Amino acid sequence: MTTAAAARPGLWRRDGALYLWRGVVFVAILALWELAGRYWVNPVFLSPPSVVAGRLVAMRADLARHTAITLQEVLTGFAIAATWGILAGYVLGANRTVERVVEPFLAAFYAVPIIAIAPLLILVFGLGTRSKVATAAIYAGLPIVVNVVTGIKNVDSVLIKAVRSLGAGRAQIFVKVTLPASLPYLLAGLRLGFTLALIAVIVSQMLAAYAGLGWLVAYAAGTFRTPDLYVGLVALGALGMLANEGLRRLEYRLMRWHYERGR
Amino acid sequence: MSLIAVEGLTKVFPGATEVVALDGVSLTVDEGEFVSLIGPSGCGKSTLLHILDGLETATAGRALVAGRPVDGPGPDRGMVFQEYALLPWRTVQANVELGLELRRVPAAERRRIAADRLALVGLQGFEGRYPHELSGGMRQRVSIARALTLQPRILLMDEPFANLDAQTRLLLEDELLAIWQRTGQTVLFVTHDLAEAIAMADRVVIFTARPGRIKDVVQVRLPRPRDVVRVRTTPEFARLYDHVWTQLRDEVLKSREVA
Repeated sequence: MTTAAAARPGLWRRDGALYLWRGVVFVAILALWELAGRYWVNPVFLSPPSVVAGRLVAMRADLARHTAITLQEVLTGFAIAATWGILAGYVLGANRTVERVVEPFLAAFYAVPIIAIAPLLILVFGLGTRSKVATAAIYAGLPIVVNVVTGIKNVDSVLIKAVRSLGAGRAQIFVKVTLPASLPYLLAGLRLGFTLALIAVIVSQMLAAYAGLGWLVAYAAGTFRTPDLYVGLVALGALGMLANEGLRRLEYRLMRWHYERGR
Repeated sequence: MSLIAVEGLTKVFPGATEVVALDGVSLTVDEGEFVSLIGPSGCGKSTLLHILDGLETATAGRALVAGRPVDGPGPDRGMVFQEYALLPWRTVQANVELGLELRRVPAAERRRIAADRLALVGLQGFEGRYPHELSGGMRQRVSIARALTLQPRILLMDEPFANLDAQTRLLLEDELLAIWQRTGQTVLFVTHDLAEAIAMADRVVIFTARPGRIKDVVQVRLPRPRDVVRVRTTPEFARLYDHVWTQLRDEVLKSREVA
């Protein structure tokens, strides 16, 4: 505790060097990409960063629209996935018998590349937003269910004994122990679920859509507009990274007790 | 009338290989008594505590507390676990308040009681810490403070100091005796440490290897208040130690054969 303040300058310096090196690697990759795009690789396959940056600025209004649509579909799908995933997870986790009956189906379902139902959902819900949301809602819910069930199974039984000894009933055990103890698993499941929601929406947009980053990438590829394709990829990469980092920070803030325990 | 009366208590854990943890155990404990339970691993001493606390039910026989059969946990009994069993996401304060919170004691009252119990175990100033920031000894103090919040008449301790290093253990043994002498509670103390069992208790109950039966009950007539370290150097302690070990040795050997 007391050494934390003293260690900070050294830590900062080490972190400074770390960031410097990361910057160096990043610039090196960009430089290599630029060289490769200009001189070595067929421009149909690879656009240099300078060209991509130029296109990104030129088509910023379009890009913003596609990003907004994508984000809206991902968030809606994810919200639905989180709702049923969390509910189903806790219902299954709290009912051992039901869980034991359903478990093999869930495991099998989880192993199947569910993303393959995207065409079916387009058939059912049409080319618009609804099929994207439906794909994300189904695909992203599964890891949430699985994680919550695992979290409940891993609750330390001596904690439950301790609160029972102090007079807790079933509902109190759930609220005071099961829920907080399973929270790290739930949050990890949500982070995974968000990534899957993004994948689901992009895949569905690529298959058939009017708009969205997935549509943009597929359309650019289909019409040989390679720089546009890279703009789409850069936007998708940024979206995924930002979301993951944001959720990770939220997770850490809520779960300080969990992450600092192991130290 | 004895505060605790156990009559012909049997506990069988069903399953592919049925385990008879307790087999017809009878025991009475008077109010204010400090009783150690000792025996080889798996002899059912912990199961006896769990049944007395109401966490488990007996297969046969009766467990009475203050003349009434045990029917689930109650505020008249407090339990301390070997693994501390603190909620890692709660501060020391919130952990100690847990039992009061579950019984909907108002916040101000909870704080007052928790502060009092934390002072009793010497943990003032650590209210805001989390369990992972504390040493094992401090965690077990928190756990003891938590068990004391509801002012139980009976303290059930399941190898509370088994995970601690030898020095911390001696300190906590002394402190527990001091607390016990002040509060006048009845303590049932499970341990597998012979010296600890004798140094702390008024009586030592020796269990057989599985299935757990009571082999012998040894009276410890060492003067109180005791210093758990110094008492070990007395001739009477040496005699008791030898006596208890002689009986326990056979049981430990028997349980080894099974294991």
